[in-house]
Amino acid sequence: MSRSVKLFAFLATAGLLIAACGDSGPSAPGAQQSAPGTAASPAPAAPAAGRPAPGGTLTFVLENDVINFDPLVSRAFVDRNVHYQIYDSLVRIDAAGKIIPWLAEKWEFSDGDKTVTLSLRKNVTYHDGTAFDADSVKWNIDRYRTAKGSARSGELASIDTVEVVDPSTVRFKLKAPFAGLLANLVDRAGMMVSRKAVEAGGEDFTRKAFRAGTGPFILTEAIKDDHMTLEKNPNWWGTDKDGNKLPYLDKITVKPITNSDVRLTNLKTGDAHVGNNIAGKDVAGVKAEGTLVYQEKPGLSFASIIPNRAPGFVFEDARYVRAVSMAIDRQEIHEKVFFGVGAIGYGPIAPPHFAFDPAFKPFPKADADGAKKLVAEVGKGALTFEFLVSSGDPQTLQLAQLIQAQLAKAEITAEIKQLQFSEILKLQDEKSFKGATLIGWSGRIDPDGNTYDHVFTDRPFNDSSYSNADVDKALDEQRATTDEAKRKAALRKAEQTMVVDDPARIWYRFGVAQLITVKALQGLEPYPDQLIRFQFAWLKK
Amino acid sequence: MSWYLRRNPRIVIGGTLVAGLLLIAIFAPLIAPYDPIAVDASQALEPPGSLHWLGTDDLGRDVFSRVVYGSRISLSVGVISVSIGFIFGVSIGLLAGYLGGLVDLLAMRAIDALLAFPALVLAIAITAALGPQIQNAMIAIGVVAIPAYTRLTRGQVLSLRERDFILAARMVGVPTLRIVLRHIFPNASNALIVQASLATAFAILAEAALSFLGLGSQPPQPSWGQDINYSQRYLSNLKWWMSAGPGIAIFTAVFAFNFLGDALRDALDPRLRRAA
Amino acid sequence: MTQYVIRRLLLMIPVAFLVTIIAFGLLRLAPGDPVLVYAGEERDPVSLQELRVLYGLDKPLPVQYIVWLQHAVRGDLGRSLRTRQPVSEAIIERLPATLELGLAAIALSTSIALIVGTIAAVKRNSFVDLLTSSITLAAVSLPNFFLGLILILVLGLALRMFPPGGYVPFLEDPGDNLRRLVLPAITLATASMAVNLRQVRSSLLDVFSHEYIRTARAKGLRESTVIARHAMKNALIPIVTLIGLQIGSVIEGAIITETIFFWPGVGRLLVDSITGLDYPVVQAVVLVSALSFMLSTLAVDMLYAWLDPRISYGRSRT
Repeated sequence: MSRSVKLFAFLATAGLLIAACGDSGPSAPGAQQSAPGTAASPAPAAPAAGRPAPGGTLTFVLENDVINFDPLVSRAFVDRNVHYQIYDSLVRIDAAGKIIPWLAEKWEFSDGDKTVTLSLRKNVTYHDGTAFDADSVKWNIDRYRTAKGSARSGELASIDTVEVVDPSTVRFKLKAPFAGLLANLVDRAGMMVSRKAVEAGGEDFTRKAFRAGTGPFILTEAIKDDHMTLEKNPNWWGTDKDGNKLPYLDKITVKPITNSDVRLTNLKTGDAHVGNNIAGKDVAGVKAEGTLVYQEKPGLSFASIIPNRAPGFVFEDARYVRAVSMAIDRQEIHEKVFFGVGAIGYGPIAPPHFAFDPAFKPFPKADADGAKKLVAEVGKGALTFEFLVSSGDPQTLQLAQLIQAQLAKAEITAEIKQLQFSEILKLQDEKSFKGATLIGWSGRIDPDGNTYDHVFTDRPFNDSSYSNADVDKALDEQRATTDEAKRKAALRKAEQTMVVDDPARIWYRFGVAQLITVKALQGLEPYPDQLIRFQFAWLKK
Repeated sequence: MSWYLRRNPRIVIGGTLVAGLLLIAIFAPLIAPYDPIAVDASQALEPPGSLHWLGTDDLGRDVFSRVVYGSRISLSVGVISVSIGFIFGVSIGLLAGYLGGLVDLLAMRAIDALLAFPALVLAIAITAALGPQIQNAMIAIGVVAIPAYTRLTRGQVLSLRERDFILAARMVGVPTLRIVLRHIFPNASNALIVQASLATAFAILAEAALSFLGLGSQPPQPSWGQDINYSQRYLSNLKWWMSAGPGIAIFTAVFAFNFLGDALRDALDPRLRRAA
Repeated sequence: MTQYVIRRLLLMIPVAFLVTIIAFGLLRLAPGDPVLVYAGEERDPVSLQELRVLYGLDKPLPVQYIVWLQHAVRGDLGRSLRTRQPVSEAIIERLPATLELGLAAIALSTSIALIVGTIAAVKRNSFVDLLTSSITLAAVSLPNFFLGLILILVLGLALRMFPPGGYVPFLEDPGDNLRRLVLPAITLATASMAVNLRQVRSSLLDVFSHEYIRTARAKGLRESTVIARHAMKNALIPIVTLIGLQIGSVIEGAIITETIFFWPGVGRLLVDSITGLDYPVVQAVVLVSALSFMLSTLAVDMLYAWLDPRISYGRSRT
């Protein structure tokens, strides 16, 4: 089952809620990464027992094989786990989710937020020896924006031109202000790749992207469905807070293992040292057993039931959607399907987002009677709809059947229809599915990435064919300014509408970032985007 | 026929087992203590005990009841797919064998292609093409079963075709269809009956395999293969009862049909015994 | 004889043709769009259409098939839609794993079948014989995935004797590779072992009843010599057939086992590609599988003729 279903099904990963509920924003354990806008270098994570010792090899079990090493065409979430080690982006986030300098040491917005000027780090070279400079940035960004088959063009759509001011200064001119630009540059759309390597690799570059980045590790080997080898980059520019060169580790072997049980077994036997995705049912056992260290942090991803709200379909009436949202028992789902790992969610703005409102709990308990009343109000008789579920994933099936049983208490009938994942995608793409589907979203650093394209009229991820003028207006507002207070207000207003008054979807859960390590492995902590950063990792002897 | 049966306790045993299965399937509502699709999440993952003889699954459903009701799907798949294979396979075999010539050539090439196609892959591909529903699994398995019947029938037809009594019938002017149905078919039927029993066993296994791969029946209807697939992930947590129940059920059903088929073969056609 | 072989080889061509058409047809019938599947979180319709054109999926179906055929006969099996890796490369990478598993299973099942089957035939109707028949019937009736799961649960997880899955290449770590081979090989071997065993037994019994055996016994030869020198040789013929067929269908046989044990072989590649609508991979693997099956059938028939001088091809087939 190694296919894109994992991309969506990974939402089923779980970890126990840490006692961070109650905070009004993301909290980060232990020491911090450097603050934004300064030229500091990344500091190591929570103070570990002892001094970091250089050297060592570790094995990382990844939930799927990396298909595309080229950020240009990469479309799978799992690829990013390796990208973050071998490439540097213009900016990054710290463990709390705040954007920090990376290859760009500082940035300045001007001209009504329509121009961004980035000052680049000096003396950085690619693994193949070529220099990183403003020309390289321009070439990369232009490639992402314009190359055929690019998966990044949407993320950089707001950029009109890229100018080289001098070898370490680059300027983006935007078509319109876009608050989520920096967040997009954290990830693949901002990853810098060696032009020489890309041109030499040709069509096979994406499968054999050796020595093509500036990151802390160098990709030296990649054997399909077997393993990837990442070796220490001795010339990496990052240092720890004491000034020691990073990374500490000599080598990382990445092994793709699609089955969660096998991954866990590898960790237990010591064949692997770190993993970032195990099933909820195993978490309690891992914590009780004590041989492995389990860490967890709220993630940016969400899970939702997507109703087809286009005219002519069952869920065209907003009251039906709200009835379903009222009738499901999010707490029961959280406990029985996900074993208490993860967080109950009501909307798309996730706990690590600055705009998150922990008091926003519009449907705290399952309300079958309220749902019945709403359906009666519509007056067309009982509510029945087709519930499309992807075959081949037992957890999704369990979830669907539990939801079906919960809705039955409110006299709502969900007819489960098991289809191939590929077929569901097609129906969703054509907006022709008759009832609802269950496909989730892996989450983005900026709340704009979790909302805009999903609920704005006619946007690509708006699978529910939702259209609400107030929501559109509020989302455009929050996108056009970098003032956090203004954005927060607009986002929360939009959320109230799209979740309660005129629901676009039925959100029920947030994902979680997990980290499972052997005791000897220090220096790692989970990040809200669920991706690992290995430059801080070291092995205790 | 009854002389054979009295002399052959194995047929009686096999027959009783199969009959028992059919009765369980038919009278499932009377035998199962709980509703197999009733979800009660508070009772999830209970090990076998006095309340639930085979424990509960991760949605709190009674495993024993699901196993009992699951027999309906497995047996109906077995019977229907074998019937499909039988009807089409035998018809093609009869036609090809009796008519010969171009018909035979084309038919046998097509059958060869079906045979060269890995059976499980063919079933998977057909189910994937038509959609993961139980009817399509029946069609897929039926199609996979066709070649065996065709070859068997055709072989019989070819060997019987030149026999005197057939030649006599033709000379007298008996219509082709009548010859085929009245004279050739009954002589081939012994081997076909044996094949039917064994094929049912295979069909049950195949349905389980397809469901195991996620291509079989729709939830929440209980199906043995799907229940095993569905609960497999809990094995690593040593929660074995959800997979053990359906697994043993499949084994028993397949065993019964194989046993019966073997016994029938030994009794009805001693010549076939060699070709184990 | 040569004429016969050539005829058979020529007949393989239209059959192979048909097989690829069936595979092509079935897969295209399947609802779904592979571009959507492999586009991950990409949804821009322009971008998706670009991908379709890139993969040649925008052309009418018959054209797509002909294009594929044109490339295939020249040895170019296309690139996987999921990974863009050349399909031939993908198959060659995974073939060793499947072959290792398949051949191990065949070796295991054959040796057990020969040993136990001979004992059962020699001690016909004894307790050993009855026990063996019951066990073989049980083995054939047990779904192989269920057996695999039991083995994983009991020997792998509860007793921790063997790893419950995964694969390490032989050249990298022979010890680990063999440890991981045990459970899948046993799972795969069981069903065929049962079939082989019954075949050994019945062939031997058949041979035992022949004149020349009675003569050998009358001559006063030791029983073991009788079995080994005279009976075995003739009993081997149908067994060779079975083994040959099993080698030919090693890809198909391994599908479920590879799925349960996460063995990175061709079988698993096939299943994943069918459900993921990775057309080029499915067509190529089905073709390879069918060809190997047909070639092995031919090889077996030829071996058959060589072993049993009474059989001769060239007359009209039955």
